[in-house]
Amino acid sequence: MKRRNLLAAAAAGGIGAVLVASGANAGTIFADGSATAVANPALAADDTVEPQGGAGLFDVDLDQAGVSQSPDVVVTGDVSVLSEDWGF
Amino acid sequence: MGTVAGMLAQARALLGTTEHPPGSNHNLITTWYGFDGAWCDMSISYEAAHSDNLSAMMGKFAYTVAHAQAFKNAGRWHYGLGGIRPGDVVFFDWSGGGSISGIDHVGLVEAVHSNGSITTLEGNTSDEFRRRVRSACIVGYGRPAYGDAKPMPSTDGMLRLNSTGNAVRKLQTNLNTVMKSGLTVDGQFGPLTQSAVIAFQKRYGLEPDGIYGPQSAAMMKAALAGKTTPIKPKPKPPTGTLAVDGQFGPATCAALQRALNRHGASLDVDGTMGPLTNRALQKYLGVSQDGIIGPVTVRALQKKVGATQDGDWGPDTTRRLQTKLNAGTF
Repeated sequence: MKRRNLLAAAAAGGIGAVLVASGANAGTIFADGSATAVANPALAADDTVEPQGGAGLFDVDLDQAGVSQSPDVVVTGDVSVLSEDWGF
Repeated sequence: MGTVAGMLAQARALLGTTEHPPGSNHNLITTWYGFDGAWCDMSISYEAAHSDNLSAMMGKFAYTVAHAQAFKNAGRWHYGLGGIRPGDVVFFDWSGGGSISGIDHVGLVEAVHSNGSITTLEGNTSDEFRRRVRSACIVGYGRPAYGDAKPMPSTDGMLRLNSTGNAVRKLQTNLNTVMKSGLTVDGQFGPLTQSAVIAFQKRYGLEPDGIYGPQSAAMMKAALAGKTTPIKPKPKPPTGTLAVDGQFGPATCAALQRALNRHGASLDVDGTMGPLTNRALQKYLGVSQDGIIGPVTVRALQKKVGATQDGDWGPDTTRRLQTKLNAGTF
């Protein structure tokens, strides 16, 4: 089967991109990537995505094990800001 | 005007929020927003509205692309992770693209780590509000105009004519490696560097605008690895037997979709309960196929799996469903 990552995005999390409007009066719009992918032939080229469950779906996702889901926990990083050159 | 700390406190308070019934997008956040839909950006709006930060957040949004564009229009957008801080609103494109139009998802940055990862607080991830650690598929971030907001970085994350600094040095080095450009690595983005960027963009099928942004950077990463197309995220393989834990997450949903396909549906196994999956389930259960999982559908499901038929899709219903899915008897 040929599908596209947008489907995985729906599984991975909120897929705001399939919404076609914003605002409280936008009506009932669901996040089913299937319909979107079928409508756009450009999205039909990649492989089917099947979720592993829990964390992210992709090989690039970090391991989510040990990430606290407690609202009482405050996570702090070891830096307050990343370098502006980060990513280049 | 609210603060970063106030926004983060509101976001943490949402941890554990789920959907009722699972896959419905229905919860306190979507009820507050006004409709049951994808709720990642609704969560941001909810947190902002409850911490006096809604105007700082550019207003109320459900559509992530429009929200990112609003940050950009306000001069509060930055491509990539450079300069990111707690309180920033980070936008994702799961296809690995770098453009605002491809954005799929959004979260709030809680913490920044020196290895380039960030801790986020996200709505509608695995149909829950969860804390995540991310480093990939990030298009960029918006910095809300909190009362205590730090200044924006000095650039928008793009390298262009007259840019300077270490990022330009790295670009020049990479262009020399990939394109044999022969540039002097001086950290000055002058006409020669611009020409080299244009040549690189032409060779790899990018828009030859001479501006080096996330898409060009993704292509450069691929080129340095000897590839001719950007390295896209690859899906992980599905897991085997479901945990019978009463949690209706993506794995259970995917198993349900596979089962429905065995009964004649043609669903994409994406682990998300959208209208097509809902209708396929309703068809299998022999109830009206309106695409909305309400009490009638849930009762039919409960009858099918042997749960108490109270119309409320709770953990016991899911556990029984998981047991049947594992046994191949659903």
